[in-house]
Amino acid sequence: MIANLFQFQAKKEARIRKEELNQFGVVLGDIQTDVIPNRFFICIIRGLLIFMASLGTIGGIASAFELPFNFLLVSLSLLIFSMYVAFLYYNRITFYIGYILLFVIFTFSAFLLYWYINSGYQAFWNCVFEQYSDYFHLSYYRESTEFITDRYITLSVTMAFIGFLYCILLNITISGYMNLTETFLLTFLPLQIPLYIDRIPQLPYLIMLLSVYIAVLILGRSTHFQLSYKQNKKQSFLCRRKKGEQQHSYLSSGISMLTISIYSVVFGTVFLLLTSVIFYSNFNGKYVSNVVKNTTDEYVKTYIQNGIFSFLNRYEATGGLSRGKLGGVSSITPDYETDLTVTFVPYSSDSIYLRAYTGMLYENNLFEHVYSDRYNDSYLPYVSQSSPLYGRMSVINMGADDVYNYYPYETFYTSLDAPGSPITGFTLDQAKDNYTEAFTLLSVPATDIDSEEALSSYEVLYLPYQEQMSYAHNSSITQDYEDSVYACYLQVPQNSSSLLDTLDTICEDAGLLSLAEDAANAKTDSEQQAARLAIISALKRYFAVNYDYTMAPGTTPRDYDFVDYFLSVQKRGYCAHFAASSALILRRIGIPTRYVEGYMITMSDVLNATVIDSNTDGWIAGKLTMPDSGLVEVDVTDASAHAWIEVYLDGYGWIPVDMTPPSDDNVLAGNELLGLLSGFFTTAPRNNVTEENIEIVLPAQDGSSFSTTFGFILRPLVTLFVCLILLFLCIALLVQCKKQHQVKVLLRNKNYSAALVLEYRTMLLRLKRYMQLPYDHPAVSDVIACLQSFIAPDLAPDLASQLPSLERILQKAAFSNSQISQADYINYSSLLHSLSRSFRAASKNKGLSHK
Amino acid sequence: MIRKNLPFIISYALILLCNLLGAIFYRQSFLAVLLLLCAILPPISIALTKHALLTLRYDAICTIQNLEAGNNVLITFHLNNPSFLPLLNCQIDFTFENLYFPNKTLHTLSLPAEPKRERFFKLPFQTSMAGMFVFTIHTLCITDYLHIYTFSLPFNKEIKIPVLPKELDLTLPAIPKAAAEDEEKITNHQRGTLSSEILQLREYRPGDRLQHIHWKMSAKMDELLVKEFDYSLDLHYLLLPELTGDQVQEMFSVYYTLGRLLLKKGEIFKTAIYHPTDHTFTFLDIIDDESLLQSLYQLYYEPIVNCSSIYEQLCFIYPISAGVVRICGDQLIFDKVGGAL
Repeated sequence: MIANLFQFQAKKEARIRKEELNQFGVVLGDIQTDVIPNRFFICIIRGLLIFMASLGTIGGIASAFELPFNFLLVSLSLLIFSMYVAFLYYNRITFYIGYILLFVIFTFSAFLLYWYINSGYQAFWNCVFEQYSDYFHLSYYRESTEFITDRYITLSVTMAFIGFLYCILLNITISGYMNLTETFLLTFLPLQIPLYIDRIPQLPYLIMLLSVYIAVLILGRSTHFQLSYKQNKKQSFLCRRKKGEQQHSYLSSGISMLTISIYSVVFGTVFLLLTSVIFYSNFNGKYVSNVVKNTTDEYVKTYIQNGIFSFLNRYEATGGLSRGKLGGVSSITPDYETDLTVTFVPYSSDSIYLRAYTGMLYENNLFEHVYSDRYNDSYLPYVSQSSPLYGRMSVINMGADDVYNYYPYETFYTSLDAPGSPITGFTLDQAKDNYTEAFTLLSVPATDIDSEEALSSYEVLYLPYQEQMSYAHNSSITQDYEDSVYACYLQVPQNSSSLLDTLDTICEDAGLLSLAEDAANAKTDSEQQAARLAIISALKRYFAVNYDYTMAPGTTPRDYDFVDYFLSVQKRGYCAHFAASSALILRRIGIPTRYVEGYMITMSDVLNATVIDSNTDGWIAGKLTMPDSGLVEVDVTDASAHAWIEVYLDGYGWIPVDMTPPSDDNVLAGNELLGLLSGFFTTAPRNNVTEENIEIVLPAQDGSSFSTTFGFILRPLVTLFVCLILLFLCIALLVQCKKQHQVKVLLRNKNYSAALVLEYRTMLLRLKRYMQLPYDHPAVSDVIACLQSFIAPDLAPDLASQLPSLERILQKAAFSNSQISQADYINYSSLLHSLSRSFRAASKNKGLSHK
Repeated sequence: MIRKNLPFIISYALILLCNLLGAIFYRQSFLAVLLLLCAILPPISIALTKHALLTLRYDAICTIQNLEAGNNVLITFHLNNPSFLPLLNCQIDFTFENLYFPNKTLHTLSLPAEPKRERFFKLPFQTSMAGMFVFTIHTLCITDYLHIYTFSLPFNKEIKIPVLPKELDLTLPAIPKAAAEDEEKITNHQRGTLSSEILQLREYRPGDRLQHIHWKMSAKMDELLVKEFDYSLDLHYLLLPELTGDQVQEMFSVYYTLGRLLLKKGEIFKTAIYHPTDHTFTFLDIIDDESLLQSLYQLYYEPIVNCSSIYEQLCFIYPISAGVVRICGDQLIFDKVGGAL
């Protein structure tokens, strides 16, 4: 089809010229030159430019970060690959077949070297992030797993591989268009990774790049470097027609290209040597402060810490609370700054939830906090006359949303007299009556607070909450309160049939309907509690099996419902997704539920916290189940912000339920399935790595065995060899098909003479391969005589008798103006085939081999 | 030419600006180096180009004198750059046309002048119509490496090649001869045998053949005197090629073929060429192939007229004319009234 296109263009050009000739009486033909552009030479120069650009970029980055790599392996492989890609533009055949072969080799080697490339890639980014973290004094940076720890090998392989990718791209910009802008962007932008933090690549790499820039700038601006694979070998000029103008450009001048390239290298070297003093001066961006630089710095920091998806957020998502706004955050991007400083005595290994925001009404992707109800979002603590344990907690708000206060569950006293206090409806007097022992804790002085930094600080007394199998009756719960809960917390948007259908489907799939029936039929509060807890467990299991946890799920499309999209399409999300969805699912089956945001202090936070005093006097009253606990001060960062739900249990009140499943190892499996690119551009979290995975993929990862050490070189070579054989076979097949097609076309046009001559030529070529003919261009009679003498003993008498007539017919077909008949063609064509077969048999008998 | 460089200048300025902004806002040493490079490249580029073009040699030549329609005219352009610097952007603007078919298309030929090399570029022009082929080089411009400044070199050259009409496969028709005063005096003069008896001597008029000048008498009288032979009275063929209508090509072919046939037969004749600008005629003696070609070349410079009254003009200006063979397109029209010119 493409060949037809070129033929069409040639025909169009011929037609235009014919028209011009008729119109003007004279027309300019194809301009000729004494020297036809030397494609081979031009491809070599292009290959050298591509090599310099790719090695300049890759080596420049590696040298700037002082990454260990095998220079010889990388530069040699890049040189070979540069030449290969440059020769793709040699002609049409090399272009089309070469690109297919390139794709096959590239993909195969990528799969074979997957873990080396992946590890090298992760190693590179780990080094980069480390350097950036030092430069910007970041408290946190992403670190990825290197499955193979030998960085010398992995980085060498990765650099060569990424270099290949660069060669392919640079070949388009250099061989294809000789375009400086594209070449510059391709090479300079990656080089910004080290340059941005004032890390300077080694001078030879910069010289290479600078030389390429100068050469491409000069060559690109002249019009003599457009020799494309499309032009035929003898074409020297390219003609462009414009209105009233015709431009004839000489295609390519190899000598000029070479001269310019050499002068560029010389000039680039001299120039950089003269100006190298700039690199060693204090001309750097470290202490520069302006709007552009500062904004870029912020973006860079965000990227270093949170990845590229953090740029897709529709509103700020630097951790902390979202106040019920859902769907606009593509990726959670915490800044890891301390939001709260919490001082308390840990009482169990369970996480402690600091509750702040509750959502009641779900509408337009927002869980709205509604104050219309007189109970607000109150939490009625369980009133125990003889509690075994009381705790005191000091909370200092360092950077969290100051609209809210952050209280642990079962708080019955707070030093703040602020609206939204958790003890609304539970008067202070009542608390003091019930928890007399707890109030004695307040006699110990509070922690010193740095008033300049703190937004607010307060202390609370609470009953350490723990998840239980069953919950006792809470005397604070009144019928009026319960009615209010059922009135407010069963709302589901009724205007979205899609959402309702999705919720119903989930309820059915998760097996919640039968459990909900049990809950509805429960006769006592304890039966109902058990049924509801069973529903919660079932839903948790369902989420854990069917949904994935991720910090970067992507935003919800604007016209979609957040919960509906998550449950039916997205199926991956972070805590807000699970909390909001489970709230609506539970409401759908009649369980009052509300959406809650706040902070979660996990056991690992506690373990990383500062123990300020081993004496817990004044901070805990009662018997601790963790006897070694001391007073700890936990810096709660915005990364600890969390969303969960509260489920109402009749007779007891609200209990916190965390519906977010733990992150699992699916990411790694996904990487394997997605293959190459996912491995390059995802940074697998460290906690995703298991020893099992590594062992499966890399049987001998210590690098001691031969296959592991050299396998990454041998396997692609074997693959390349197999590919070349396949290519050779394909070409042979194509040639054979082309010949047959030619014969078919000739027969269709009733050109029997030409068809017979073509078949004779095929046979003649075979003869020439196996036996010595008297001349290079033997006459028909010589060939027939030679053939006859060679296969005389095996020649059937009927065939031998036809040989003279075959000679006559062949001469007629070759030299006469009149065509041979169809019958003659059929007869003598089959005779030629028979002779060919006989010749093959005879040559086998005589043990002749291919010349 | 400056307009052609403008996009390059703007794009280069943009590169410079981006570098400048980058260096100001980000203060990167590599950007500073690039900025410096961008600043010094243009003067270097212009200076080197100017240096190289001082030694550049160039010419355009065509070796053939004339050719028949349907053949190719080959014009060779040669470019010799003895400098060690390549000149990548040499541009030649040229036009070409057959004077009867004006073609205003401007052709630009972009060539590299390779360092220390002489290169030849052949421009083949295929012809299909008779007429005067004119190849005109307007300018030779050399632009510097960055396309910022263009140098114009003096190179005005015009090459004219007459394209002859195709000779037709004709037999000589029975052309009526002009009436002679005395039939017996008619002599068939062969080529080169023009020394028959001299009728009279007269003063030289432009257009007279040099070999007819009577050098001895001219020297004596101190003015150019031309011999008039008696055969002029016997000249009985006058061809009038009429450049009218749309069958001019056919007219050329007929005229050329007829002239060749007459000359082959040993006949000499006159051709009347009409000048529509001043409504005059030039009479050319066609005595050999050379003079036939000269008459054809003169004809090529005459414009085509729309009126069909050339013959009437001739009769009006030269009332004694008779025996005129009019060539209109591929038609021969004979004037029955014979007479001496």
